[in-house]
Amino acid sequence: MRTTFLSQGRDLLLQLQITQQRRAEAGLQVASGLRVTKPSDSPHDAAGVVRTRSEIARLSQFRDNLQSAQAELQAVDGSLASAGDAVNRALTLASQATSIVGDETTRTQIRNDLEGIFRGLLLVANTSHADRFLFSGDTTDTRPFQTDENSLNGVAYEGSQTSRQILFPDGQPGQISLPGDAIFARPDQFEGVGRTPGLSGSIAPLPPAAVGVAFSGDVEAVISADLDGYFVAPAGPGVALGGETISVTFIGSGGLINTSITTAPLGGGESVADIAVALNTALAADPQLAAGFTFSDEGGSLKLVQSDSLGTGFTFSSSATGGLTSGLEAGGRTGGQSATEIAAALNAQVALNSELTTAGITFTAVEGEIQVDGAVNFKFTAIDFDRGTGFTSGLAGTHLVGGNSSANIFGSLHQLIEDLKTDDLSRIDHHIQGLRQGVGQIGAAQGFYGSTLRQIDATIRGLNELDVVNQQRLSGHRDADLVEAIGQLTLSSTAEQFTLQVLARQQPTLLDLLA
Amino acid sequence: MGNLSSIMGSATRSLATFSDALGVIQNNIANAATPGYARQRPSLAPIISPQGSRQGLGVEITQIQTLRDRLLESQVFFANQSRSFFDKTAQLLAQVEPTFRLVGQNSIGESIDGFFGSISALSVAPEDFNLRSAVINSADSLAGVFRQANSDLSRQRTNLDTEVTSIVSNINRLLSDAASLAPKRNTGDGGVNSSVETRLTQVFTELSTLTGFSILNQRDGTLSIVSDSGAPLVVGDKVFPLSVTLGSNEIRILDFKGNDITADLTASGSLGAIVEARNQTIPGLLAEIDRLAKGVADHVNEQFLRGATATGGPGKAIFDYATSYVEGVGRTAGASGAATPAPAVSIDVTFSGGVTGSISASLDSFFVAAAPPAGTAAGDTLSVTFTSADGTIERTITTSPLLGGENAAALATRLNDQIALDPELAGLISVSDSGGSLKAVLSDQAGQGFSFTASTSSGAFTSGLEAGGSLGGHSAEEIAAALNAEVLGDPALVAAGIRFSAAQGEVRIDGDAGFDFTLTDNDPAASGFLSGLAGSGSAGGAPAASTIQVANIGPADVSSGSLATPLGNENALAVAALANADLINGLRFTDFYANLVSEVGGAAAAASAEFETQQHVFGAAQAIRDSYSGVDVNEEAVQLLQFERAYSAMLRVIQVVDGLSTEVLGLIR
Repeated sequence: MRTTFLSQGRDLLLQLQITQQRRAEAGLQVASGLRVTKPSDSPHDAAGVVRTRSEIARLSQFRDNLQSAQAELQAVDGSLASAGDAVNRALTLASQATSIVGDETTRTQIRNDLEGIFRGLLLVANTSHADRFLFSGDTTDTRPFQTDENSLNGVAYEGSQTSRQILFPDGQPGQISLPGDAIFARPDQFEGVGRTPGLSGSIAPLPPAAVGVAFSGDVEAVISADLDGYFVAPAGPGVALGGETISVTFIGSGGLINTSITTAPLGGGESVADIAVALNTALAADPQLAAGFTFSDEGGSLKLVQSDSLGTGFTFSSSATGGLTSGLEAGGRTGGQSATEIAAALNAQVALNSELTTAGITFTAVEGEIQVDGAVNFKFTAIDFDRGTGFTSGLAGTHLVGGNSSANIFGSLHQLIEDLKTDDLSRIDHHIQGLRQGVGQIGAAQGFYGSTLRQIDATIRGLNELDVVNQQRLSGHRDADLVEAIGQLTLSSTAEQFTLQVLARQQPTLLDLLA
Repeated sequence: MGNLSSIMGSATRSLATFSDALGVIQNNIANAATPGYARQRPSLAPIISPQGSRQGLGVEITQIQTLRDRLLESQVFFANQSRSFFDKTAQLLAQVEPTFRLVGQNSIGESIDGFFGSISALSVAPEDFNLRSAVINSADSLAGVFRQANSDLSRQRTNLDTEVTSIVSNINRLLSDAASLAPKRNTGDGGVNSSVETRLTQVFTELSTLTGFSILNQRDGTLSIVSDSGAPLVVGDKVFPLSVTLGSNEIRILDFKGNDITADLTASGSLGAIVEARNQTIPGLLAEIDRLAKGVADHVNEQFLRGATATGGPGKAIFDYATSYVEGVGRTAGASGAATPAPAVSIDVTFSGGVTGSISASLDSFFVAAAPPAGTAAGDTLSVTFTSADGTIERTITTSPLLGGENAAALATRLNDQIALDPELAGLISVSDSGGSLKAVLSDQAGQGFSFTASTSSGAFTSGLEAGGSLGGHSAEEIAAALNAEVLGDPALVAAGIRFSAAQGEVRIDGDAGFDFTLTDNDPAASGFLSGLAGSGSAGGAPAASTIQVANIGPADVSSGSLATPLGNENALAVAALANADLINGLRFTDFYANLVSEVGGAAAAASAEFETQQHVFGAAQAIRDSYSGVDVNEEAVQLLQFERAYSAMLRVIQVVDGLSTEVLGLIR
């Protein structure tokens, strides 16, 4: 092929451009240490850089989060150790108090020491780390325990009963805290407030009023107990003739009461209210039923209401003389909404559930209210199904109850102090038992936090190892092989110099010879 | 034999011929560096003597041949068109590349990571207002990076509008030059003016840098130039100029008649590269950035709205942008009717405009037992097992022992008691008496459908629910989920990013690009169902990246917790988890961006590689052409020597003849 004047220069120029570009690329790699700085350097590796850096950032954030939790848990560990020491000191003092007889000065000293321990324990329970309260569940901005002289515990828990969670790198949340009341003030039982029998309604509800309880925690079950209430006759009484009477027989659920009342002979033409008065007069004359039942006029029918005081449900039947009808002839049931009856109805349902029976769940009537207790730690949610009667069990809502080994540390300590104030030593052993269980409860909490801390430590170590792998992967995607880059730089620089030399050298032509 | 006079005459003519030949060589050497110049060769031939004469008359130049090969030149032009296309494409993509940074503060990928990282950090200490502020700041940074990316690409698009106008102007100028030069090609004697040819070659070379064209040699010796689309550009001395119209979405190249020839432009010249970048590459990248910005904003906002502010208020969105969704109004769950709707409620959606397709989603509703309950006796119980569509909830409830003789209303009360006691079912399902039969209705709060089975403790007792059935499907979430499930079955709709979502009890329809839709509710059983979206509308194509910003919220509004625990971390964990979820085209946000980076890098690298290849192809075409047409100085020097010697020899002949003539004259004296 002919080589022409133009093509020679053009080829050399192209070659110069290529070598200059290669030298510039190699120089950039050597200067920056990076092989990939923009997408076109290597599209595959560029995407790899983005993905790997994202993964490094993600895992780094997890590591930061876990390290933050780690520092917090270490602070918790120290606090729980202090709390354990305080409760042990309180135990020692309480034991000393039982052996002191008639030494008021020593007892006062012990009480003062216990009050100091109480205050110290309160400080521990309200410990914060990095402006976050450690024992307030997932509301870490709320001081968990406030002094409350009206409380049996001496403190009120204002934190949350929900544990804090942290996201682990596998995408699963993990629990990293225990609510403060579960450590320091787990109530041994729950006592309802405001139980009220349901009375509203012009007809007896069907289904009857009921109370339902759902258990969670160490026991999972649902029970629901029907409760009898008042009775409203389906029809009004007929017109009485002079001398007619109405009799009603009441049989208690336990069979202890089985008695009948009979009205005095009616004058004839009595209204429903008059008949109710006649029946109430008969009731008043019966010592077993007096103040236990009340008849009234409910929209032209007889309404029978049983009072709490009887503590048991009744069935009744009725008859009348002559052609008189009272509306009560079909009989019925009354009662069931006293604390005793509600507890009995719920316990009857518990008895049908082996899980609840095993967990030792019991309902007890205490001074007109219902107390819930169990051998295990559980939470329960109670709902009143009042069917419009106005019934309330006093249990409604969600409540925490501790098991046999649970401890209300603040409660035991506070009541111990209060008893020492009044020289009432009768329950000191009970308080000592509570404090002993408190030591165990704190130990269990330490076990939980220790285990969590170890899990976090292991995860952080794993993340550190993973970071090394990811950094290597990132380097593989991004970094230049400096030996290769320097070699390329040298090669391209030399080539460029040669090209320039060739370009600069003037080639003689035949024309030069002719001249 | 001729006499001395005739010899002298012949020699003189030959001398003139060699002088002309030397002139041709001189011209070759003078234009050795002129681009487009084709070397010339004088064709020497003996002068033919008159008939009867036996004496030769010397030598003459019969023609001066220009060594120009049209085919080789065309190959150079074609190669230059391709080379120029890839050169320009590589340049344009190199300008786009910085928008897709791999690392650094302004990298979209790192900003996404930074935003989700800030939420992850908040999840550890949601009560920390510094961390809440950090979330807002990182959201602001992310929004800023999206806007910057949009701004960078939009500015390049605007620059291309200016450049394409300039290029079309240059093309028209070159066409005019070609049209004015073309008539001067012919010398009138059948020859071609070499200088004009050279100038034309230069014009065509420059034109081939700008656009694709072909040259047609007409029978009358004139030239025609046609574009790749077949539109005439020059015919003879007439020019048919191109023009350009600039639109917001794309630019259009028009021929002299105003016909749009944009689609016919091939991958040739700078014009082809710019049109492709302006109409396809950059809008495509802008759409992808929009899609990413919108995807992040929508998913993060949806999750934040499910949470609660630090003060216990309902969750607030953190991103704000010019939306393109259509939100329904008046969605109503169908609940009227004493029988289970059959056929079930359904929704038909037809798409047109930016995307074509249609979907139909069937929605479960309430359930009415086929028969009333019967045969209840004291102590009987009824158990119902409810299972959610996603399988996360499976609960069995059992009534407390019945009194016997219960009707549907009493049984419903018993079942509702147990539902209320179950925290996973409470508030989601209710049972009622419908004409003596049990009717189960799923509330909006369920957000997903349920199936159920039922059994009684006694063979004599039948509730009417024993055959089981399904519930729900009318909440905004369920409607959206049912429609989205149908979208997944149509690749065109998926590619267009068609998406239904639920917000504050209503259904939204949206997409990556603009589209029209017609939605029809089908409620054959008159259950009262309304999707809220029935009718026609246009949606999609939100300019999310250009308008995204942090909503007008403060640190306390960052919805990390739930209504139950406003300062908790429940929702922050859920938002942080979005970073690792496959939410956009089945990819995580950063993976989507990584793919985008790879796509841009791949296109840029391919354009550069193709440019290098085409550079060599162009060089080879030039070398082949120059091998034939180019001037070799050494070759010209040889020619020069030959003609110089011939000229000298002829001078010697004249000297000899002159001497002879002098001697002859001396004889006369």
